[in-house]
Amino acid sequence: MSKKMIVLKSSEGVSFVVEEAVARQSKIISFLVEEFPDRELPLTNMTSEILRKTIEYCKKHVVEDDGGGDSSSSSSGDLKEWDVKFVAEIDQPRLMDLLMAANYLDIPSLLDVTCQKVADTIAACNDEKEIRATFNIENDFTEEEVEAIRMENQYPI
Amino acid sequence: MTSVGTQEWGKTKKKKRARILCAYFPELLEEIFIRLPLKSILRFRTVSKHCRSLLESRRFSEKRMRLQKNRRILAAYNCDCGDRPRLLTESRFEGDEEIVYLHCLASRPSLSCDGLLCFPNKTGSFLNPSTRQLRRFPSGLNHKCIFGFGSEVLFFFPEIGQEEPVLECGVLDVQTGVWSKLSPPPHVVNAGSKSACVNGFIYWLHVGGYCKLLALDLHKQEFNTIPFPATVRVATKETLIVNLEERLTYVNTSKLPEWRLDIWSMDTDQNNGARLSPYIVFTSLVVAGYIFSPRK
Repeated sequence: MSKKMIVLKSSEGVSFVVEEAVARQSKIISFLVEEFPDRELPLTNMTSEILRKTIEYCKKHVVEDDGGGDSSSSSSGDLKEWDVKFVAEIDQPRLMDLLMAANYLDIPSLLDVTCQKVADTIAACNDEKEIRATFNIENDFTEEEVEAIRMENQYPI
Repeated sequence: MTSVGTQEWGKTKKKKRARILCAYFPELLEEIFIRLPLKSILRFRTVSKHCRSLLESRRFSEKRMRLQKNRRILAAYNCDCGDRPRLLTESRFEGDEEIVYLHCLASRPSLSCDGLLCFPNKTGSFLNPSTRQLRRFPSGLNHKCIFGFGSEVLFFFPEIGQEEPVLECGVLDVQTGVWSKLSPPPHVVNAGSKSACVNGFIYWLHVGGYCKLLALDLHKQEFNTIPFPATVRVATKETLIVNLEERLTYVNTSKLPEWRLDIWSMDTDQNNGARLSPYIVFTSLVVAGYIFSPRK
């Protein structure tokens, strides 16, 4: 039996032909495929670059469901290692894009990996100024308030 | 056309992206934050008011607890410097595990359940080491009490031998800070008896002429007495009851004739559900054996 393929179209209009099982890791695509079978799905808010990355991830993580139980093509240890490498190779802005894509397409495992990577980046920040800069957050605390919160962290119980 | 969304994420600039993330996807920010180590969470508190309210929300702390289960270790060390207990700001990592340090005096009563710590005294203080959230509730406790802590409920009743004739029992809901009274237990337990919380019950061990367990059903708010079966060795003041993998476990050490450690765990009736069967029989033996013999 030949595998069913579907077509995903990026914002630039580039078409990607993907196995349905691969694309179905996205709950949104899974839903769309059922609602609109035999149609190409335009993902107008995803660039080809991000879509390609997302598909690359899904291909690696596709689980062959052959009736009895799930069997993944890779062991979980290998997958974890692959994931680490996968996000390590992406720069910060693209990582954010991928994170939002994972959220938008509803791919929980990809969301987990990307969120963890962003969290690791934050954890590596030296102070809150760096965090504010990274996320472009405005400081709406006064000096005194910041000091009060710092004191609180010292918790006498 | 099944067009989706409007933002072209791949094209937006870095700063704009971050702003989009914060403004339009607060849930995504939360997803990122729950994966942060404690140290960064403390830092993030002073980033902005929005961040602070997010990090201090109950929802956040629950989400983080769920995600990080089995990943945090609380190391308490005894110090008699006289300072009040506190968490050290620095935590340490060993592999995937984050170790948080608690500076405290070991003789001061403290209770723990579901990752929460409780320091019962005149004000009940509750500490969540995973987020460093502290809640205080005036308890009105002005005498020594027996405490029990479980499922975010602090329970207390006076110690035996109290001069005050009022045998007042109370339950504090840690969520709301509301105290309610409870009818007294059928019997008292030893002073300083530590509680264990398992499956919606708080247990206390009473060591005396005969050993028994006092069980409080948190759901029904009722007490039960559970006699020890004859097969179990007599408990001593050193006997502990603990929650081991969601089973009530009894740990006893005896020194004569040889050093011996017995660990018994409660058999729960699977059909009735553990929660509904306070009639416990210590039947399943986990470990019973000689650990070591003292050097002659």
